Amino acid sequence: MEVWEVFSRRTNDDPLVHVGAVSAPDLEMALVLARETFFRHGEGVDCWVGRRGDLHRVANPETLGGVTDKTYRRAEGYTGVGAKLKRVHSELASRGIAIDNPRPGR
Amino acid sequence: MSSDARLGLLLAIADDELVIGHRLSEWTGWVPYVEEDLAMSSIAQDEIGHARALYEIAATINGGTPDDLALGRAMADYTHAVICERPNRDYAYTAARHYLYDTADAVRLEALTSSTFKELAELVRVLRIEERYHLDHARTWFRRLASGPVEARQRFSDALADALPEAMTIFEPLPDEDALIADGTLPKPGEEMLAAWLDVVGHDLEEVGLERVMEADAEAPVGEVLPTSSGASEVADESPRPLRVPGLERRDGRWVHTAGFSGAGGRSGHHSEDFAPLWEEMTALHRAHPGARW
Repeated sequence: MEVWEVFSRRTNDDPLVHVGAVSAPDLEMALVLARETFFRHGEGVDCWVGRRGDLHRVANPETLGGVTDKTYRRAEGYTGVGAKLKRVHSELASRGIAIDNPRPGR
Repeated sequence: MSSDARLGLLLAIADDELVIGHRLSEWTGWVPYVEEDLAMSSIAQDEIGHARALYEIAATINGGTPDDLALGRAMADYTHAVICERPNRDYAYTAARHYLYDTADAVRLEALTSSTFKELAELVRVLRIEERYHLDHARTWFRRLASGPVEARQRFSDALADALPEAMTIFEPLPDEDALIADGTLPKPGEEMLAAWLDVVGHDLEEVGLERVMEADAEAPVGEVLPTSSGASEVADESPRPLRVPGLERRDGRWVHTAGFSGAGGRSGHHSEDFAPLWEEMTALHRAHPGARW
């Protein structure tokens, strides 16, 4: 028997999320069993199954997000940037300087 | 050990990372598809982050700040390999250089894990964890483009052949290499790391039937970079050494570096005209507003 991962959408506006797995000999049976294993109380409006063997894990998941300082990638590193940008633009405008749209080097 | 030699080693590696990171960052927003744009941009940020970590150690030696080291030096004080400053051209060249640079960096970092320079060895162990992803990414593109449709394979192998001679200069000996070797700061000479890297690259190329890349560079000009036209004379070597004989030779089934480098001189601060506009842009804010904070 194969293991099938089961995914659900709680409402039509929700993203598909993983809710669990069922054992089943084939796809047809997996679809039949997933319904009643996870949805018999009306937990969702949509259900998908996928063979576990068709899913693949990334290498070295423990290093996801990096291991050196990446705080600059988080939104809180940029609080007040909009206000600063406005200040810089008005400062530049008062000196008659404009920044062109930068393009990649060639 | 003179701390100057250690400072020189740190700056050479940090400058490589900073300058190639800057080049890769130029792709942000322009890569042909968004997932790859994010991946390449992350790699660019990683390289610049690694440069920062190296400048932080360097700053403890020379008493400056990491910002001053990264952005406050004259062009001729940067000692990155010339390959790092070359423009991105197209994605074939970018991917080819990315592969060559990151495989070379991997060889260098592996050697440095056994450095007697403790702070550096410790940092390198952390950096290698992130570099592993850079290698995965570079190798995935390498295999994909090398076995891709005819045009992809052709453009990628041309780009590899273009980039390979200059990529070898990543291992151009540092001015103080003898001193660094003597006290174990640098566990292996540049030539030894170059040989290890040529093995890796040669093997990868043979696996995809692109050995011609290794043969192509025998005709590449050998010697130091010499800016040709206006504008960048301040980075030119005032008394260029005579051109040396190439390059790469195949002996007993292995690629061997015999003598000379094409596009050498980066480790002594000699750069191509391509570096001037990069330096101008990269350091503009720091020069206009010293000490500015975001």
